[in-house]
Amino acid sequence: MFRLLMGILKADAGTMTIDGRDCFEDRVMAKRLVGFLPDEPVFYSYLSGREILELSAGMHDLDPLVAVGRLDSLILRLGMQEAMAQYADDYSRGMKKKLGLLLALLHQPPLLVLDEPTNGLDVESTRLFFDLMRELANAGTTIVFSTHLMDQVERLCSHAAILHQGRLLAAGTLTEIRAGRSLEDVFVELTSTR
Amino acid sequence: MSTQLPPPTPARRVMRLLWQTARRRAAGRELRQRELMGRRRKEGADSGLGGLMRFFMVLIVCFIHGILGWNMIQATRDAVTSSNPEAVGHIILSSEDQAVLNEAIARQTELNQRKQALAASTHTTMADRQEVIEAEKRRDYALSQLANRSQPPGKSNSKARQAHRAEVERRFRSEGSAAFVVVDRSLGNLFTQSSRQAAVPAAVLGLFLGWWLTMLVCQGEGLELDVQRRRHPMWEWLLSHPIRPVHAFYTELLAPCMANPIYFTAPIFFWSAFRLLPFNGPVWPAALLVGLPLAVATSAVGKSLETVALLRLGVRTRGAVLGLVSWFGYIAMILPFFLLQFDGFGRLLGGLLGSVSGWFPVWPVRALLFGWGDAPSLTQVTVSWWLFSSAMALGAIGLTQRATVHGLQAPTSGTGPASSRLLAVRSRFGKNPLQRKELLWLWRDKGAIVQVLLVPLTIAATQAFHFRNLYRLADNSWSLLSGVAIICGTYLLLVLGPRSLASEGGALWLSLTWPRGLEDLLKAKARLWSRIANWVVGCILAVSCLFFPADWWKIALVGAGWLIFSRTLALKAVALVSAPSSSGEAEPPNRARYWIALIGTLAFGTGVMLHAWHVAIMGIVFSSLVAVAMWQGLRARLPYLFDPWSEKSVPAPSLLHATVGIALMVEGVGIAVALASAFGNPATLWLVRSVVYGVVGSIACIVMLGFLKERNVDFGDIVRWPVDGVRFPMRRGLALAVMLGGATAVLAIVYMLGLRLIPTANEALDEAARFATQYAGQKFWFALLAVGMAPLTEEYFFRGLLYRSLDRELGDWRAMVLSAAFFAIFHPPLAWVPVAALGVVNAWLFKKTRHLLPCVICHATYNAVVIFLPG
Repeated sequence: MFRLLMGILKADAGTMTIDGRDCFEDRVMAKRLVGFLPDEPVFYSYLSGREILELSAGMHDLDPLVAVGRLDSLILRLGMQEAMAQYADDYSRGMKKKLGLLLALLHQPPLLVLDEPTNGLDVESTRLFFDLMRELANAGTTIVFSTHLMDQVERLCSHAAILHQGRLLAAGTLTEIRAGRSLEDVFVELTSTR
Repeated sequence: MSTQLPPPTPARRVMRLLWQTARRRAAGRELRQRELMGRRRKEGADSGLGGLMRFFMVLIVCFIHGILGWNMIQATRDAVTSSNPEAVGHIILSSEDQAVLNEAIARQTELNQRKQALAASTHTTMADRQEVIEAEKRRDYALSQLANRSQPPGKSNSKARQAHRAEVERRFRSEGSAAFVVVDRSLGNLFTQSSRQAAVPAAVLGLFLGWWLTMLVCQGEGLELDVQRRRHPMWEWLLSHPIRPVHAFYTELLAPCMANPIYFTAPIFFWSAFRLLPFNGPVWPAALLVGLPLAVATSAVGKSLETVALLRLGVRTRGAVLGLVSWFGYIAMILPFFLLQFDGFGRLLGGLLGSVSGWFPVWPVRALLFGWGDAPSLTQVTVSWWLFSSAMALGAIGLTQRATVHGLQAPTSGTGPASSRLLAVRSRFGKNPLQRKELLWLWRDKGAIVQVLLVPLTIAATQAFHFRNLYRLADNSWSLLSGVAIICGTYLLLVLGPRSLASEGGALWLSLTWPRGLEDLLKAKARLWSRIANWVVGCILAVSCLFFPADWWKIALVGAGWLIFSRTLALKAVALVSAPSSSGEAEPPNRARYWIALIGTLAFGTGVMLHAWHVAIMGIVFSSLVAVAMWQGLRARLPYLFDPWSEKSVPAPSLLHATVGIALMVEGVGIAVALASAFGNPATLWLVRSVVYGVVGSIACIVMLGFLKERNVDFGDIVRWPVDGVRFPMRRGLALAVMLGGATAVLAIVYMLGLRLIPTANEALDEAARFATQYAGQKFWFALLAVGMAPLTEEYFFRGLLYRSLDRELGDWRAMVLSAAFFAIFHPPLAWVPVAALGVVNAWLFKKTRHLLPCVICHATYNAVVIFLPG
């Protein structure tokens, strides 16, 4: 679904829009509105973390120094200040995720699409991600993320959608979906009856 | 107390499972490719082309082994001969040809006796004189045999042969047998004589053997390899099982042997060499018994070196090392083609190695090629090679074990890129971030520099050597240097493009998050690559201007042509982009697309070099069209880059179909005409050419019809071009066709008359007119071809397929002009303008009448008027 959102895949049927723009036909302009973090980010073996940020800023038509400078406090918070000078290919999995998040936030998009953002992160980093997502959401950013951990959904989300084998089984606010039960129970019940 | 655990899975079981899995993976990959292709084309039949390519690959490597084995022995014999002090100042004969010398001496003696008898006789008869004549004939025949057997090795033209024969006769008559020295070239006896005498041949043989073995070691699974050799993601999963890691790597040792045909054809090298050595009995059993184990051993050594590089070198260094290894494998493999054309290579080697051969141990070469006894023995040779192969294999296993002993994580630098004053700017990615990224890749990925510099230089040098006779025609003028510049630039782009695409690897997803379409990004890459190549070519052209200042404006024209050509090359290269597989493996460029990108790439450079301007222009136009065709396919492919199962091919007939079809037709005609010219009678050559053109053109049409029929495109779909059911009246269309054909022909005649005002053009036209009427019936056959056959095939290809697909792509006057230009370049240069005009007229006519028949009539009318009206 996220690849469809990012215009990487073309839908066989139906449409997806972001702010009224078709995700595939208008995918170039739609990229200005979306920051994407894939599940397993892979980076160039010959560029450092900072260089990748500067490259991405340039490709978003931003001043690299200004755009990356805006992220300095976040880089510090994520504990990446020393790693920025190292080759991104040598990063651990968690550090790659953090760099991926920085890339997604670089152009201050109104929509963040995060594919399993805390997958592979340690406890401290996971908590940091949660705090960041809350702050960004409070600041007005729409965040769509995928997860298999129901407690994350309950802690972070206002709305949720349950997808199973390509079909949408439920969508709405958490209160509507839960209907007095735990989200995990609802999920198991919905997916086991299909 | 810790729990007792079962031991690790045994090595044999691990290796057996992994080999079985490797076979299943290869079969599965092939099946998926076929299914994917079938899904795109809505049929499941395998074209069989893959099998044909593999067959040709096997033939080529068999040829390489055979040539190397043969050359090894011949070069050694020449080295022995040239280093023999007795050979100086004499004509050399091998010991097998002693009988020929004896025969010549005997016939000379007989002739002398008969002449003396005739002179002494007081009463000579006709029969006596006839006997002397017959004896002289026998002597002359014996001398010709002597001259043939003593002919120096290497290619000799008839002049050289005549000169050598004259030399043999002169010296035989003046010096007799003293002019000749018989040298034992069998080599076998050398190794029972003193080691001093065996030193030079041993060194030469050792050099060849070492070269051939190194070639095998460096081949790997194929020369187009992912030199980054990123660890396959499945390795970590595999090694999470209770198996010793080194056992898993042992199975990899045989991977090159299974994938690359150069290994299992290795016995041919030994068969080719052994049959020239003084062994008794058939040599092929020994060749098999020696060659196959050695193939396994060299495969293992090569793979172990790769494992060492993978596990012990960092990412950025690994590529350089593996790139160098594969480059050397390529160099070693093309050596036989050089040796074939290098006269006296053995003599040169003998001279070079003579001074150092004293240090070369004779016994290893003796054991490996002759045995250790008093007489050559295939059994002993086989045993020697088995011992050698075993030692190599054990060495490979040991090397692999050592490489894995420190774990599987390749060393990381732990530091970032070193700051470079050369590259440091305040805002590094500000102005042109993509260009900056590509330059950093070239600078930091050492493998990139190795491949981008070494490989094009090597290919260009190989090309220069192969075509050196042609290049002599360039007469050391400015065109030679300019042509070299173009060819260097061409190879640079052909290597740089795919290599740069491969450098994206799994990081391609990052490009897809930028607000620039992938198409736009690929075009930006192409612009950058062509700029890099422009700098290289520009420098060489500037040097050419310095050497030939009077021709600066011609060099500038070539430079202008290069600017267009380089852009089209870069666009073709970038159209080969592919996404990594879902398991993370790098995908090599599609083989068929790569070969299509290569069609006609050397035409521009070669045309410049040989002052064949029409060939140069043909190269530019052809490259432009193929670039447009490949981009049509790329645009259809891009939305499905990460979802190839949903990909839909460009509806047939695509521009690529048309371009490849035309190229194959032209190539087929060219090859058939060349064969006819080589074997035919010059007096009937004109007829043969006409017939060949007609036959090959018809075959090309039929093949294309069948190809398109498989893709649900009928002949009627090509001939008719309906739009919203609107039909143009056929009678009016045909009348229009005759009118336009006639008018265009008249304009063409006027144009030709205007050309006659130019002296060189006038001469060329007169020559063409003379040629056209040289033989009886020639004009008739030409007219039959031009009016009855050519319009059908040419309109089918150039309008029915090419223009129609270009119109789908470009949609306006550009489609007409480009299709007409492409049509024109396949005609004589003086006719380009009127033929292009005919192309534009016919394109317009096709679009107007929506039927191909008026175009055929127009074309036939044009040809008829042009042929018959002037005369």
